[in-house]
Amino acid sequence: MIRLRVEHLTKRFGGLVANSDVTFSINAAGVSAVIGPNGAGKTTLFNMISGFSPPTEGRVFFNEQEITGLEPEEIATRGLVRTFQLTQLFQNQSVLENVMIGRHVRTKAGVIGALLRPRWVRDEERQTEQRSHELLDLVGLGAQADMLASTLPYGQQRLLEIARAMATDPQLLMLDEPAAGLNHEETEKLSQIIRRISDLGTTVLLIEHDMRLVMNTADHIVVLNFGRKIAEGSPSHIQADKDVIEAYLGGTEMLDA
Amino acid sequence: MTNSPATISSKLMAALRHAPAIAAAGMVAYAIADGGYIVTVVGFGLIYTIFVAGLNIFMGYAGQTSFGQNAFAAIGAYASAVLTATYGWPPLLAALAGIVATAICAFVIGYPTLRLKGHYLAMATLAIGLIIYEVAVQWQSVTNGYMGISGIPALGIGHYELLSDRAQLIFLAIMAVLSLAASWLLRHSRFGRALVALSGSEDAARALGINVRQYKLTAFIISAIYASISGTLFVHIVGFISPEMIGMNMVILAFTMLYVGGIGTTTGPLIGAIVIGLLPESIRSFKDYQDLVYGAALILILIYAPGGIASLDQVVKKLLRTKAPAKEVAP
Repeated sequence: MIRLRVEHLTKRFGGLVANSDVTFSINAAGVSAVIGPNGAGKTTLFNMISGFSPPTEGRVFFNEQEITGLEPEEIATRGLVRTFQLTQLFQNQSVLENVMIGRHVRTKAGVIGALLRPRWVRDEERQTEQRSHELLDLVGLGAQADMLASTLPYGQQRLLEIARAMATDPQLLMLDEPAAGLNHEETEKLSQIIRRISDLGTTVLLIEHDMRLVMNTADHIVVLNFGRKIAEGSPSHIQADKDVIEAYLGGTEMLDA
Repeated sequence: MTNSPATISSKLMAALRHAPAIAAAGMVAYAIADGGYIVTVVGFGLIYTIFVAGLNIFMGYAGQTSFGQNAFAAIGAYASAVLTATYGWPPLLAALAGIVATAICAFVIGYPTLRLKGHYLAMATLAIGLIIYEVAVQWQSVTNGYMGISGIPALGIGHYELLSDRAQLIFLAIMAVLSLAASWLLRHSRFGRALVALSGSEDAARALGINVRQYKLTAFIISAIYASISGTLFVHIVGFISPEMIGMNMVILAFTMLYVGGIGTTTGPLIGAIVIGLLPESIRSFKDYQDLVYGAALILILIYAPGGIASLDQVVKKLLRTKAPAKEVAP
């Protein structure tokens, strides 16, 4: 089954072409990755898919339904949820509340429900809290539930953002450079968590610089350079690809991985 | 070593967290018992508590800015004044009509305005307050212009009227408590979480499926309804309304109360309204230097308790930490 399909995606900012005619599809099973050197147009691609910046040309299909040009909140409601390169946590709220906010699209209570608290609202609140604790355990932040999000070390903030995104019960989770700024050990742990999420049935698509993470975690890789797709395939296929090695300046970075 | 000192201090801290709100509530209780001049001062404080609690939902929870809340208080106030004094409606029905009118106005005004952000939103809302003031001055056939409307009856249902100062104060206290309770319930719900989310990061909120525009508008309408209720209560307690009473000074006072009390906290509006309400009275002995002392007091509060008086416990915690760093080693 195809989870995500993009066709001829192009994004122009005035004269600058950030993405040009990018076409690929992502299977529902497994972890996929979009890689490429700095300025290859990875984040722009993410923004087009998640609705934050509609494409100049081309179409996006999620579960074979077109979502091109929909608002981000609409796309999120359908089950496609992203994280950000610079973590966008709700800093003044507790770790638990951050995740509870993520349950928004899967819960229903409104203003009247909040004021009158009928039984179904109280049940919903209890389930929201319970599910949020489970997700914190999934990323290993169970003990930090009551801490303020801003007091977490950077690596844990990234994990919290993943837990919060998972709270929406996404079918496709898109992670924008989740390993940026993480040390070796934290990256290792992140890799395990991404595999866990994938095993639990959520499709994962990541943008990543960290080759170790990509090669260890991804089943399928799309390579961008100067806004164009230059290669696509399994990690071993990508590592052997001439164009990819050239894009990475002789490929030292690739060979290290 | 035992950890009993730590337990005691954490209990102390928990007590301290509620101390400002309890002190403010105590002041209200004292006023009810005393029944003298302080009744008027505390009564105004309670009316402002409701107004500021509404402002707090829009500014504290949702992180937006509105300098035009006086407009909605004015709509509530004039609706009540005109419908009861001129047309003889019962106060409760007039109040409800005022709330409905305010909600509709807030929707019509908020729908286009809330596309704006930050300073632009602040300027647009400022304009709303100024426009309503001008309407109150110019629409003489209804508002009686600068002369205002007098002879507004006291609150009451049927033949039962709240005539004594004390009965009115008790009623205001009940209304203030209900307002704060509603504010607390809203904050600790899916709705309140959506507000703090869009306050923290609109992009992140949208990425999680939160319809940011819809939630901003709802928060705006709710805060307008709070303002409308406070306007209604005001005219029935005072018995008179004129444009001067719903001008910009109202907004400045409410902002001061919100920041001094503690923006974003549920009890902050009560604490701020009581403290700012009583401050001029308590420094009356300074005579000519009154304004100077008032200003200095405000500056001191905001420097040493930037989160407002409601988060005084944080200030104390910080003080203790700097005094005894060895005891605060992370576990």
